[in-house]
Amino acid sequence: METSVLSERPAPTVAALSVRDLNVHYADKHALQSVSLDIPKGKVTSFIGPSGCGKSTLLRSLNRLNDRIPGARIDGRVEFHGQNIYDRKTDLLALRRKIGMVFQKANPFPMSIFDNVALGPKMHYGTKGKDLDQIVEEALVHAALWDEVKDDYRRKSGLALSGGQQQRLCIARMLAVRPEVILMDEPCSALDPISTAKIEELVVALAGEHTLVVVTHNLPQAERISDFTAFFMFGELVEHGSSSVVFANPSQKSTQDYVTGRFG
Amino acid sequence: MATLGSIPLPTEAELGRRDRGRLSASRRRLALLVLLGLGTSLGILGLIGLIVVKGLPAINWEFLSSPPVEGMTAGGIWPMLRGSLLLMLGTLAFVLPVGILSGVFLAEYAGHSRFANLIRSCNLALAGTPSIIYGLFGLAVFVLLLKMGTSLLAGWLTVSLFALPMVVLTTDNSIRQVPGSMADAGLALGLSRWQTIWKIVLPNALPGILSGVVLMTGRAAGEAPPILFTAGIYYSTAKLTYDVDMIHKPVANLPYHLAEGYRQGGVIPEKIIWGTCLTLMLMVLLINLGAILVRSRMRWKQAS
Repeated sequence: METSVLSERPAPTVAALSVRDLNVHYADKHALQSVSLDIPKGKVTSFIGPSGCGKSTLLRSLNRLNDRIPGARIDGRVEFHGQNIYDRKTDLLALRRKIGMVFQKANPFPMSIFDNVALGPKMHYGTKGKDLDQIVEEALVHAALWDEVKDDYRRKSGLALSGGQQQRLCIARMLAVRPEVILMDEPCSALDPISTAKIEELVVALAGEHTLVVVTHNLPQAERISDFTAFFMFGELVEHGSSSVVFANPSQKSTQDYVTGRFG
Repeated sequence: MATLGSIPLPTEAELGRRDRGRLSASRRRLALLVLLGLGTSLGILGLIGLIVVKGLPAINWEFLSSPPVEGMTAGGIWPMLRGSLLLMLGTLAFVLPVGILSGVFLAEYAGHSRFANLIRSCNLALAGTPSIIYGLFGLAVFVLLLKMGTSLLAGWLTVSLFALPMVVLTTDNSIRQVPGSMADAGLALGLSRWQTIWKIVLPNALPGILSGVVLMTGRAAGEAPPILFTAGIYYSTAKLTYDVDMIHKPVANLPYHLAEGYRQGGVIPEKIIWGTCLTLMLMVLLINLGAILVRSRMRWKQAS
């Protein structure tokens, strides 16, 4: 397991995702204004900022889930493996297979725990039989849910789990498709402290092999789990850097005010 | 000026009078509601009770399974029961796929475009159209124009058209009630739009859709006007057959039997009419019961 040991000056990193001059307009709102940043590969990056600052918009732009919102206009580039994901020829299904997402409110499908996790691999890879069993078990183990559900995961509905378990089921469901990048949109905001701690441990454990981007309102959490932090305000990226710097020694006054709790 | 309490409150005695007045008004209104509720329930129970009391003595296996004899004045109602069951099954087979797919199209693909809302308004208007209009439409188009004649086929199509708008609306509603987070989860997992609809959204909405479909089919099966000119037949001594050819022949059925039986005044003994009445009611009741069971079983399976 890799822990986020941070040095004052992080080693040079490779970018998993590069955002370049990204603008998002909703019907009458300029939600993201010329945002450019690199998401370092194998690291945890947190997006923080007051409500409505554009951090969730940016997150949902990274797997093109914003395409679904009527009236949303997006321009700029998001490079993934050297390709702009907003290119016309982008294979959306492949993109979302490689960039998984966990939502604020756990949203398991109304089917058994097994079926929840098996759906992705079945649809993407046509996996079945023993291989499928293996993939489902591995995903549940990696999401730290296996021990709690191994006795009845084939029969029990995903909806019958507790809130924290449901969120870990959603993580398992995503892991089963083997994404490279994991996007999390306030994954703990509806959870109790113990469930939150479990998700945080998971985030740290998944880093290295995966690149993680976590939107959070919980500043101590961002400081605990992330290697890098980006601070947004009014749709603009105010500051982006190693978490230790952003939290302890930010270069912008507004970042300082926000992380010390003067507003937000 | 703006201090709290600058306007004096009524005295305690005055407040006490007001409170008693509010309480007694509340009790009077509650009593009225209870009375209305009891009245309605008693009315419905009375209606059902009357049919059960009058109809039950007529019903036995013999009555349900044998044809009428002696010029409809005696015997059972099997041909009518068979006709109603056939009409219902055929309607279900047509309405289930067409209605559900139309509803999926409306909710998932047409969304809230002007076109989709026009279709919704049309469906709403059609759902409120008296069933006799469907009967006449069926006569004009299926029976005469398309030369199907008075037949089971023409009846299926007419009853299906009658049931369709309600099924489309129910499906559309049930699907739009599925939280958007479900579709988000499917798409974010990399499922295609169709896979997301088929594997996630539709199963979520299915309990609601199915109960809507079955309730509507049950209702349609009890309607006389749609089959009056398209499929119904009152008196027939022809042998009942069960082959492909039967869809070109008219069928006797329960609502038509009731309507004609009553109109012919006195030919059919009252006992048989009450028995037919109860049979029709039980048939619809059983269908609704089935729908409720299927729905609760599905909900239970999805959530536990």
